Amino acid sequence: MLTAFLSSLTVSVAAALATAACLVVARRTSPYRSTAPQRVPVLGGLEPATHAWSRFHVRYYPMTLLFIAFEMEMMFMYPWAVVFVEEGVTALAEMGMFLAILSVGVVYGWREGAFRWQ
Amino acid sequence: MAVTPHDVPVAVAAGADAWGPVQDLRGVPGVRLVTSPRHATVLLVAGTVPEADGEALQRVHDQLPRPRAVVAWRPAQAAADVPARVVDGGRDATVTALREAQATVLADPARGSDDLLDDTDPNEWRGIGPFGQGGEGMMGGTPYGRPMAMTGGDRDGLALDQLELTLGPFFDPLPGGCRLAVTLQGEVLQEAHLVVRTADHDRFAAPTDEGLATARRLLRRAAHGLHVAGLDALAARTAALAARVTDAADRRALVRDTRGLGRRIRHSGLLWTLRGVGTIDGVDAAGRWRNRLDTIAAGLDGDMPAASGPPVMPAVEDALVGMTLADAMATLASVDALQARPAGAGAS
Repeated sequence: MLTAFLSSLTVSVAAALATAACLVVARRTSPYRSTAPQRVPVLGGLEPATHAWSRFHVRYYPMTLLFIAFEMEMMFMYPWAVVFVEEGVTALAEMGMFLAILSVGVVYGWREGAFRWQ
Repeated sequence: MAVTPHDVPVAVAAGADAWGPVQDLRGVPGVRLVTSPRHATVLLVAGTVPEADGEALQRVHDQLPRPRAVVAWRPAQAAADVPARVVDGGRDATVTALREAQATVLADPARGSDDLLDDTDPNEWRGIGPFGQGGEGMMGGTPYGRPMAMTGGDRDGLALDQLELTLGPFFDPLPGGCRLAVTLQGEVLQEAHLVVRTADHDRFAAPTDEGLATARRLLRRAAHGLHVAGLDALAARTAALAARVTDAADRRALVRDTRGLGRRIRHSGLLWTLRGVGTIDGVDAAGRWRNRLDTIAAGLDGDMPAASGPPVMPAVEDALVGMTLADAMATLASVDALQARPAGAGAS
């Protein structure tokens, strides 16, 4: 069993070693490694005053939430329509539960103002 | 402009007096003014770079990838901050020097210009602790020597981080001699502070005719503005036209070509995209572009309209607040002249 994978394992390890060796050699010998000033964002000669690790408002998120809620609904309703013919009331109850869960997301989006036209 | 292997990618660090003449280079085939020093082989240091901007100049120099070359075009002090090959001639002599500088440094990388600043981070990363980031989670501490962003109220009533940046003095989308200190939340400007320096003395001659001088100045502004809008082919055409504006020029031909240029700019859709953007004193960016094109045509024609002074600086800054960074750059590129204000006033 193990011998079947031995050749691929050998090749993987060899590739990883070769890659690591290339990286180490390049790092040691390349005259063109990036320097500290080159790692600073280009602002026209000045350095940023604060670290760039900052949180900002993803403004499209209520829209995304609505899109996913309605899209997931439609994605399952097309195949469900076929199953409904065979299964009847059971399928209807199951879809009702699914829609109830999804509608929680829609209600949340409503509260966040996703339906407000502005 | 088509990119050929023979193009010389040039990063520009221009003093306030040389920023206009440098725009003429956009019209020269074979030379490409790039937006980031990282894309350049040659650094063009043009005109009078104030002593206070010496370190900024050195940082831009170091941000060019090695091997790099430096050409100084009519420097005030003989390239005090960076060693360079000095050119004293006009546009064509500069282009030749740029080509030679690139050829030399590519043939022999050892002759490239060495780093000027130390290759050390302001503060080494050592994780949480007195010498590292020094804080918990995303707040507090000074990773790599820079404090974390502090929060401030945003337009939705949330408290979000504020990123503080000062762009310039050699930032490609900004007009020459400008520094823009901004407080950003996401991509929206919450605060803007603009500092504009004018050169003490101009080392580049302007046409003696006032109309021609104004037309050339505005054509250069237009070339830069078109470049900021991403319309580099139109920028090249405009710069080539600006370079033709001299006292000996055939004014009739210039007026005709300017009309053609105005048509191309209108057909490009630029004015349409700038409707309602950056309204200052009741005029939006599209209106300012229209005025600019009219003033160029009038200046070349010989009848100058009564010049309105530059917009008052607080009005410009107020217009920038609430914009995205891209809109702010487009707005500044549409303003013909900015009031000078000394660097000591407010912004660092």
